[in-house]
Amino acid sequence: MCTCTERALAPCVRLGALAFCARTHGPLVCLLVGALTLSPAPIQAVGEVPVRVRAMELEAELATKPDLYLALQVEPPELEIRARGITLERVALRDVAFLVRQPAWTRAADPLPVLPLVWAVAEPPAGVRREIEPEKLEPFEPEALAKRIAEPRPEAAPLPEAPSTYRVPLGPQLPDAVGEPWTLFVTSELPGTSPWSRPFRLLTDGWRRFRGEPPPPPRLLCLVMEPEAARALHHLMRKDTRLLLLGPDT
Amino acid sequence: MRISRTRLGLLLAVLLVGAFAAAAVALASVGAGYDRRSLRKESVEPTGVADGSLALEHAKQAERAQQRERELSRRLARWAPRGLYLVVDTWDNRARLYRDGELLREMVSSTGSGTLLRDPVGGRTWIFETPHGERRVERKVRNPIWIKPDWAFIEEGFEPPKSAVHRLDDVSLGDYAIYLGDGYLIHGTLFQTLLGRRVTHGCIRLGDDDLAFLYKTLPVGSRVYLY
Repeated sequence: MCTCTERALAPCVRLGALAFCARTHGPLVCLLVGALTLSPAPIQAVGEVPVRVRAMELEAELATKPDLYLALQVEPPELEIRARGITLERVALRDVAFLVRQPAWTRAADPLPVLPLVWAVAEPPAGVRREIEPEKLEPFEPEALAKRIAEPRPEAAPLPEAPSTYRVPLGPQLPDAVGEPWTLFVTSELPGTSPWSRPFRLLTDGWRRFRGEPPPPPRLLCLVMEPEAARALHHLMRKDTRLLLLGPDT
Repeated sequence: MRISRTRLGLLLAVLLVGAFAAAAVALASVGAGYDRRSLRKESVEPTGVADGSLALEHAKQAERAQQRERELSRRLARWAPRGLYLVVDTWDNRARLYRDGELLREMVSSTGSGTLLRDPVGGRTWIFETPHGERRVERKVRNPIWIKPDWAFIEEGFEPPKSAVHRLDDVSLGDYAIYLGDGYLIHGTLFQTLLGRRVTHGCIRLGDDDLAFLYKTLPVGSRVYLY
């Protein structure tokens, strides 16, 4: 964000650059550079654009494409499935929480993302796909095929049920593509964060590390919802599905 | 010096508990747990001394922000659908027809099962998923003929036929077909009892009455939202 001090210094820096430019590149280039650098600076620095406008800019960018995206309002918790700026469906949320993994004795300063922002699903959650593979293929016979299609067949094996708790790794945040990677955690119950459950969690995590198991993701964006809603959301988590995170001011 | 058995037992118990406690502390100290973080409200108000020039600057800033907001609202409204459009919920298997945001008709549909089919000979794979996102009605056909692709034979355990004639099917799609591009259609079905379930190969199946209504109502070029 542009501060008053930076604003005061800016003209001096520009004049210095101009003098340097004139000495090294000649007066013509100097005039051109001067016209560019001494023109009025944009009054609104990026950080000063109101949050609401920034959110609209991000959504307008998403709406240019025909893809679905999820709009998550952090406070109050609301999740909407959207396309082209219209809401197709609302998903009832019980809570939205940002969880950061902290070692036992230290308390690292782990900055939260600045909202609004857009994340993309980097990898879909674990698959729940039914697979079919005929053992062998018979030579084509029109009558045999017609008979096989027409004959009553046993009830097909039910589709595997989507899980109600799953993790979805999120890609770099847009538009600046910086920031730490977060993981979306869809669940019906928030992992224990109370002081009472903390010692137990530290112990189990230590035991997991002792056994050489991979550590859980360092940062979780938890969506707490009913199990049925979580299952319904699962199939939307395809690769590159965008998640627009909106802060309380939007 | 002799130690009684009771004392020895007590000593061992204390040592055991101590060892357990030490191990627990050691494990806990290498472990980590989740802490909940609250969002900071980021101030969007400009900071600094509120002298005359800054106040003017802030006023201009606010004006520009309002202008930008109006412009973005217009842009978003331009992308939004107008008139008739169809929304298909592939999870609950419901298709809803809207006119300018007002629900006209809700229909029971069948959508992609998500099943993966593997060709045991060539190793090819197909995933029977209904696509997501916005599509448009490309064309509408009465009494459609389906040109069966390879997977339609492989799924039934047959080799795909060499002759194109054997691929023609004028029964399975029902009376009408609405084409959404990339081979995805809204069509009828012979298996009415399976409506409301995820059983298709990616197309959207509707009951006879709903399909006839949609065919007559939804013009070519209309938008269809699949989620």
